[in-house]
Amino acid sequence: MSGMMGAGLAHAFAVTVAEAQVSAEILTGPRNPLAAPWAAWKAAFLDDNGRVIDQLQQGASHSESQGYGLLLAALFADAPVFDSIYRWTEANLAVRSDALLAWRWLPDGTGRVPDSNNASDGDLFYAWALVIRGQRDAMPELLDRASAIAQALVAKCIVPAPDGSGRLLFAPAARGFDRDGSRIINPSYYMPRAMREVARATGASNLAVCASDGETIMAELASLGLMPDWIQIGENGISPVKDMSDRNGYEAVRVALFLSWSGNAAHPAVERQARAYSLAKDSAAVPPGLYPVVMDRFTGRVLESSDSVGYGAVAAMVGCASRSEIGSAIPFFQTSGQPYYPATLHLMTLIAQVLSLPECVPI
Amino acid sequence: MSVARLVPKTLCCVGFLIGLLPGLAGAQTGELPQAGTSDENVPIIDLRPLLETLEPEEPETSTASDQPVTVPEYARAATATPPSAPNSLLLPLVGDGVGRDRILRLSGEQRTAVLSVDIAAPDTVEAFALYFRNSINVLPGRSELLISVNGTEIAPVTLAAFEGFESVELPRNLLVEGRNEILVSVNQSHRIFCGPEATFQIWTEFDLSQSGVRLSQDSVPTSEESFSIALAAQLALRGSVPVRIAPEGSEPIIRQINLRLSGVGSTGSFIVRPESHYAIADTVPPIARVTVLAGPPEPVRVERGADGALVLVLVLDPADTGAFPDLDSVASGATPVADIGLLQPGVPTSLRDMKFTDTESYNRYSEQRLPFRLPDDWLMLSSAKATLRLTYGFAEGLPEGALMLVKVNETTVRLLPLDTGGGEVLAPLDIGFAANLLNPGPNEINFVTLVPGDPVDLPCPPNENPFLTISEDSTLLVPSTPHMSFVGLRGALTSMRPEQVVSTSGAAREETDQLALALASSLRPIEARTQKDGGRLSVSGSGDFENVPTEWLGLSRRQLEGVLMAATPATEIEEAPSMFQLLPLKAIEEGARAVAAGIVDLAKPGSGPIDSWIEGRHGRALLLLPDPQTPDDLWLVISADSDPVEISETVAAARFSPFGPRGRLSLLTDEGEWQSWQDTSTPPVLREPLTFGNFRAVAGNYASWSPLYFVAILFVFTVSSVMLALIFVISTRGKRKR
Repeated sequence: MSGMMGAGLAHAFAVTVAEAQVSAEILTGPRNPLAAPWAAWKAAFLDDNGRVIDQLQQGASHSESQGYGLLLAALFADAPVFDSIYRWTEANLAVRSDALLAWRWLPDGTGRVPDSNNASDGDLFYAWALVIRGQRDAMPELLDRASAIAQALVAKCIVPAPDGSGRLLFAPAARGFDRDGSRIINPSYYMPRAMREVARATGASNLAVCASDGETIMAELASLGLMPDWIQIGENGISPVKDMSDRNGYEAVRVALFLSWSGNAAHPAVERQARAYSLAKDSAAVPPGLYPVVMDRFTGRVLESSDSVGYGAVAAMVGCASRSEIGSAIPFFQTSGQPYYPATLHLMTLIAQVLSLPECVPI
Repeated sequence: MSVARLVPKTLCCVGFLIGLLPGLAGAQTGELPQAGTSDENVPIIDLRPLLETLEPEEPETSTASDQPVTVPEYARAATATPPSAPNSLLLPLVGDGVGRDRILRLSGEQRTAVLSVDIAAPDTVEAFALYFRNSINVLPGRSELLISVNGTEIAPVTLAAFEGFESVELPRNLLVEGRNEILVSVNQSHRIFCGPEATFQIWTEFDLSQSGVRLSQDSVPTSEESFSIALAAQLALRGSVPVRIAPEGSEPIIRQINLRLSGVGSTGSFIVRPESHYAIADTVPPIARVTVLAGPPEPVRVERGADGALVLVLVLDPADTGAFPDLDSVASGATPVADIGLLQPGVPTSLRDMKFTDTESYNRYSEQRLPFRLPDDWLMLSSAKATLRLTYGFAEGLPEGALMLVKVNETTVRLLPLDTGGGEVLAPLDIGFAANLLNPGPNEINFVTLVPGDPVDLPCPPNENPFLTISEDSTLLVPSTPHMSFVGLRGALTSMRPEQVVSTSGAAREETDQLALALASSLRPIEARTQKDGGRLSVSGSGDFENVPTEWLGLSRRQLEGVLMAATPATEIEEAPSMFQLLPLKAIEEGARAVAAGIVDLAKPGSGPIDSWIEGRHGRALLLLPDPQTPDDLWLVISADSDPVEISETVAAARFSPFGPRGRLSLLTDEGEWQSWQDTSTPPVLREPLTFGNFRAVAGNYASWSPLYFVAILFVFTVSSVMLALIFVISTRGKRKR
């Protein structure tokens, strides 16, 4: 029996830590551990035309949801879904004079794309998805499209910091985020892994520089408190943005996730976020069945909570990333009871765990 | 390339044309730059109609940079609704005789059941409740539920839950750490009638899927003790344990876990349900589960999963072959289960020594069962007598017609009137019966009491004293026999151990694996029963009939399928009687056939040829002993629609039942009855030397097994003796007399 046990163990743990860290191919084959969550996500949020629907935004679709959907399809090598999302997005959001995407599409009304402004994170994820599929399946037209987007991002959304530091900032959009000489940024729009991979594939090297600068800025922010949803950088340094949230909320929840996914789980922002989640849990600041979502940047006080387990998934993975223990309390994936955004973060959390934090296997 | 993607490029071309012909459009609109329009004689071409034809159709949008812009912001917040019962954990009451539906029914005038629940920390209990309902025939004014918690009685509860399950809150302060015993007794009266039939019509059902203690999941410590309790609750309520494990090569680990967990909780079967670490959430989260992770070995630990389940985390090192963590603190493996009472042949044995405890009967219909086990190699086929020396007494003044039936393996051997001479313990009564009513292995004596109502059409008067009492000092004497036995599967099944259950590979692998796991969880070793080293129980699903070795039995795959696949409703064709059938010849023919069958049975007793025995039968599972040369090698085959857990529980329970599987092949029918086929070609086997001392008994068994063979052998001996005698006489005569 013991011999049989040993052989079984060896097979059972064929997916070792090292293997999972280096290869995303595990997500593309028949052994894809996330096949069931991906199927559930598609069933819940993707329509037959390739439109990813965010019901909480009046059933809108946006470049972020399309970019996320396209990335998921690329990672899971789901070519039909990739094609449908790509077709719909190109037909409906690629309406700007440059290569970027209009940030929002509304299902009702005459002006389905109310304005042509973009959202740089949506463009970034969209380009990253094109790079992944283009490289894996040798599709140069996709790489060309990704290059166009990357160049446009560099041209329109990467700007020098006004504080004289020489750093590059990742503006949330081509327009609307500069105020009186200050530049507004959203730390959660930085996805270092995506920025570097797109830069490497397209030659838009400023994206990689911007990623590194962003990580430095986030480290500085972490020394002050939790990551803010929005912050501005002016001549005199960092300050809150008037009329925009500087709390650690629905936007900033992604920062630790993206840093962990990028292999930077030791970043101060991740550790700070993990401590805040742990404190909230230990102090029973959140009723059972709810998860902290909005916290005060400086005190960690929970200001808002949610019953969507996706937020709990992010918290569990971030908590695990800061520990040395094997196993994490990442919840089972589910789409019932949670909208597009937390469900997508949930699925991204699982991907990040599989690829970058294999020791944090959900228990 | 979509139309929308073409439009801007087309517009660019038009713009280029306009650039080449400055002033063409501007002359009309006055909006374009006027530079370069010095030559006023240049003909004007209006391109607006052309431009209009190139307007994009979809989407309706504008790319003009001077439109107002919005910044990408999203309304992410949704109304947070805490789950209705976010972290409520039920530790259910458990008890004997509870079915898979978790309903316990107590029928009759007076019945009692013992329930229990294990608690780690009584002060964390938030609610303690018992859910019950009654049949409509129960008369509330004379019916009550008595409950005691750890020996302390609480106020009686009137039985009037006719609309559905109702709850009664039990005092939490009576709970203690560890095992808590809850005694529930019902005193019930029929609204209208009194008598044995009315006994069946009055009942109280307890819903043990809701009854028990409730506590906050957060208050349950993540300790090994808590996990054991949660696991027992999981098994009782769900009948399965999720095990999160990487799928590849997980089988031996799953098997190990299954064996370790099989000692937890009650003796029921369960399924170990492997699932991915990334499975979709269950609608109802589990109470407890096991998660297997890869990594440097570390002691087992208990954590709380995101869904509130207590999780036993096993970290196994893939490089360390054969290593499996010590689980004794949470699941020590399959501990032996108590056997039924054992009876030593040739020695009067008291009912007390045979574990008989149900000595008093309070109901107008009652069955007091005495299961016991005879040795596997005890075999009595002759007409020797066994004796039950019964000491009993019954209430004075029982109505006319009150009686007790004494049954041995469902055959009534004595009817005792209870309507005269009651009120005292009677002198011991010897009840003799044919010992060949008994079988090797499990047997049962059943005391059935019937007390009519007086009158029958009014509710029974309250009755505080038992109608009948059977003394535990009563004894049973079964004659000893030589060590003999038939080749059969009963003994091997009784000795089978969980680790001897093997799954056969084939098309129905998943189904077969489930059955094997469920069997391994339920076939807990029986106390004082020796394991047979060569024992093996191979299990097979309905899709793998070709794997089942039936050649020794002479069964074809088609026959196997006919028994276990979905039964086709038979169309009965009623033929008109022929003239031949109307004649007495028909009766004569049937009589002749009966005589012939009797003669064959005298020569070859048993179930007849397997072909004819199995024809027309249908069931859910077949238990086989294919090769008589390897009597400990059994096979279990189930039909496609069978529930592995249910089959496993039935097989495990059959080890204690006199009506369990026997012979070479046994069919579990759709009604849950075992029908067994005994090979006629194999005589009983003597398992000790033939001596003068045992010759008579051995000969008696063989004679009883096949009287015709015995007579034939005797006849041969007689003729041989006569011939020898004649030869002797003739050879010793004097020459003179020849």
